[in-house]
Amino acid sequence: MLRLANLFRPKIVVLALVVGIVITLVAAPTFMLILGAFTSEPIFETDFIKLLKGEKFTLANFERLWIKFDALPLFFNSLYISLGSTIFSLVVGASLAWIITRTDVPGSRTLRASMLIPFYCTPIVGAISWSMLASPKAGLLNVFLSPIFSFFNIGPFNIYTPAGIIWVMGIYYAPIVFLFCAGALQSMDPALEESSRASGANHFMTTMKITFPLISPAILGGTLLVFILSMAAFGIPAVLGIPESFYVVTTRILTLITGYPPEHSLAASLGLLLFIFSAAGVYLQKKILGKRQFVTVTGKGFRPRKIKMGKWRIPLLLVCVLYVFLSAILPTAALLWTSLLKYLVIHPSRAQYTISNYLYIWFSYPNTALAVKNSLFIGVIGASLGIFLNGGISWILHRTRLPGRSLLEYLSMFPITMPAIVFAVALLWTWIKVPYLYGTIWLLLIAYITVFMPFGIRSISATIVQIDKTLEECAQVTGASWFRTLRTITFPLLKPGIIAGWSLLFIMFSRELSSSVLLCSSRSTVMSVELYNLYWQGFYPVLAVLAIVQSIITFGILAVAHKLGGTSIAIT
Amino acid sequence: MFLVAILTSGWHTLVSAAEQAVIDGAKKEGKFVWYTSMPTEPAVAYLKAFKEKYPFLDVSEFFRSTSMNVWSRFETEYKAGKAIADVMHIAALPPYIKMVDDGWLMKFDSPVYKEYPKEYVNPGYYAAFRSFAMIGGYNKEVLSPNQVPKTWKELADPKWKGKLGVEPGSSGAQAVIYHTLKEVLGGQYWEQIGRNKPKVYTGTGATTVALQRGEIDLAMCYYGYAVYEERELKKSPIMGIWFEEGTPRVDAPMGILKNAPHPNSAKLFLEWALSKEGQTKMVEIVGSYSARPDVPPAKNNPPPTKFKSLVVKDIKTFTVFLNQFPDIWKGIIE
Repeated sequence: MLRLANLFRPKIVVLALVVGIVITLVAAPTFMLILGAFTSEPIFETDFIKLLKGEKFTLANFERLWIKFDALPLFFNSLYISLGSTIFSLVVGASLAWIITRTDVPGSRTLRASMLIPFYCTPIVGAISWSMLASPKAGLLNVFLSPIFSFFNIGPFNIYTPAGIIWVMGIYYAPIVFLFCAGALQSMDPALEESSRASGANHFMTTMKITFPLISPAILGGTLLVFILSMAAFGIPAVLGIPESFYVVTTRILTLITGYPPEHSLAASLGLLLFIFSAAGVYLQKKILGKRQFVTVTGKGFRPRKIKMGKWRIPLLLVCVLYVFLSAILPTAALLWTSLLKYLVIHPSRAQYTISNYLYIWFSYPNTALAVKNSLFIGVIGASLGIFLNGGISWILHRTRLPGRSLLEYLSMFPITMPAIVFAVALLWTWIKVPYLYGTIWLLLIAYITVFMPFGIRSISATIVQIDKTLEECAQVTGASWFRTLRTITFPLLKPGIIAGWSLLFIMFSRELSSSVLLCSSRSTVMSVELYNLYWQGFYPVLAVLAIVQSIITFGILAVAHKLGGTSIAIT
Repeated sequence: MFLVAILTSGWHTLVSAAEQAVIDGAKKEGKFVWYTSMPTEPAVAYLKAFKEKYPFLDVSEFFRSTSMNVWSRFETEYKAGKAIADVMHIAALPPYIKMVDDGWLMKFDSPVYKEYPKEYVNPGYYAAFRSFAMIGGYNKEVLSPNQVPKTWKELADPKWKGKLGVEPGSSGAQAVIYHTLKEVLGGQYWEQIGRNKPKVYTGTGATTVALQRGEIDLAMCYYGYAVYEERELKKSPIMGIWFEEGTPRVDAPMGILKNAPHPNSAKLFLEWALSKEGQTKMVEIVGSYSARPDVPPAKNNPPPTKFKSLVVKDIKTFTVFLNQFPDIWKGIIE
């Protein structure tokens, strides 16, 4: 019964508001992107009415992409590095997950926490650290390993290659696969494994034939996510690929917009192609995994027994430590060393040291203060607004029976199909003519909240679905209003999930680069963009200091958040 | 006391009423936004020097990127009706010629333009803020003194294969070097260089890093100012070669934008930056050459009297060439 009074029930108002926001954030830019891909002038210069009437429709962009800009090689490059990094992170992530959660390797708790360190780091900082380690002539690893190289007559490492990109991306995406697999491994029912071993199969056979197949949804989920993220990756391919003219779709989109002459329409067309590709990938993921796309940690009582590895304990520990060394310790050491250099050198023995870079960043470089301020503002306020919005969406999806829920779910998970840089192009056009918004941090906030909506929603949903509905129903039956129930029952139970979701958003906002690089202006610069700009000017030492500052601030904020929330720093 | 008061009040009237109006206007505006391709560290120092002269101005907001990126962003913003930049300085002349034609530059009749040789100004619109000497760069810890080349010509020798560095086709400076050296050394020169498979670096910073790390032995598109910064300021082992056949010259203009949101601040900046004081400061901070005859070059860099400058003679044909250069260059180095 759709009486007028019913329309103004709090639930409906909230639904309408949320759907309205999501449509503005997601649908409007997508629409502009599609329009722009089929127009040959930048749409903010074109008569919008004519555009809508279809008078400016053209396929010329796609033609130019095919003929002049080699769209096919670009996609091939993107696919190549994505497949490479996916396979690499699958092998590393799944193996380490099994070692850490299912064997009696010593120090598993510390190892598990250490596995997540790369997750907190900004990808381009990782790429830059690795360029200090593995640049062809002067890379630290190359210098120290050169006796071995000459003995075996092989060449030095060269990080400025597709293989280098795959290496760094693989290291930084492995924690994602690790989380998926570790979560599933820890909460699986041990009975099947035990009966397998009881029937005589050894550990290896059990693992291969029972364990891994049982957690295959988690493995697939993690792998597909890494693949989608790799296709959308910008920072690492930019830092390591552009110097050798190795372009992927995302980096080419950037040069089309920022180069001269600006090729906005071509960028839109290329972006649309990438978007379609990603959407196909996400669709595939949904189809393969069905409803269980993200396996959550249920916290129920399954505690599979740890396999005793005997004399293999130490070698397995070394394998884990090797990953932590390569992903966290070595790059950080390289970064610290770089921050103390006066200038880069052909051999470490020639290095001249100084602390002036630290003084410069703190006292002289005006963008430090501005970037820190903006990054903190966007991180804290953005994550909070995001959690609010995502919480609202999650709640509507899982706690109401309102009509239009599946449309809302589709719309709000939509951003994961669109690579952040493509989204930024679309946002740029949507908002460039709106007074005040262009070049401000509000535009960045809009971009970040939209791009990371799916992550925030999943994070909160994971917690909401675990909370027994009967608790809330009890409250309502005894007379509490909807709002009071929310305040006194639901929110307190959700607190750990909210803190985790907030932290996730904060981390992702702090290191975001792909959309920031297009949408930032002189007044709205953020730390990632400053790092990126300093990199292109070759100011490695100063850049290293800024990267260290960024890490300290990120860790600091997270520590505060978790102290306030009473939880430990761990992402579920 | 009375006498002192009269004398000090008389000092104030040395600034004309028109100039005072600009200063008052700038005080109200309170801010200055510079779009520049000058590297970040020197740009920050230069703005700081400007602020010392006019402390009431907030100069913390500036946009720095490569010349083409700055131009591209400005054009996008202009076409979308966004007014953010006050003054633009990039290392490419054709955009300024175009901007005068399209009416995108503010006309500012300042006497400072008269202090420049006429080939480096368009009076009222823009003047050369920095002049680049395009030279060879090398790391003295990589090349011993007898290995250091003296001519552009010898770089075509196959012994330099894989050891040369250049800038990409989007670089105006690379286009100038190509154009001027082709006139002096003939058409085959660049084909020979192409056969030496030079490595491509986007921007001075990347080239400097490549030299420091020994990835290339000689940078062919390097700048006098970069050598000054490395050799004099950072005391790094990077050195420069002003080759015998000549040194291509690139003049990087600066002008006030018509839609500048802080026009008075912009006028103060432009007049100061183009004045003897501002140019001397520029040379001291970043080390480029000044187009003003009364400003000496950066410390230990040779003055223009000691080398042969190669300039682009016909700017109109060069502008056409500039549009074709990316494809030409791609054909050569790939």
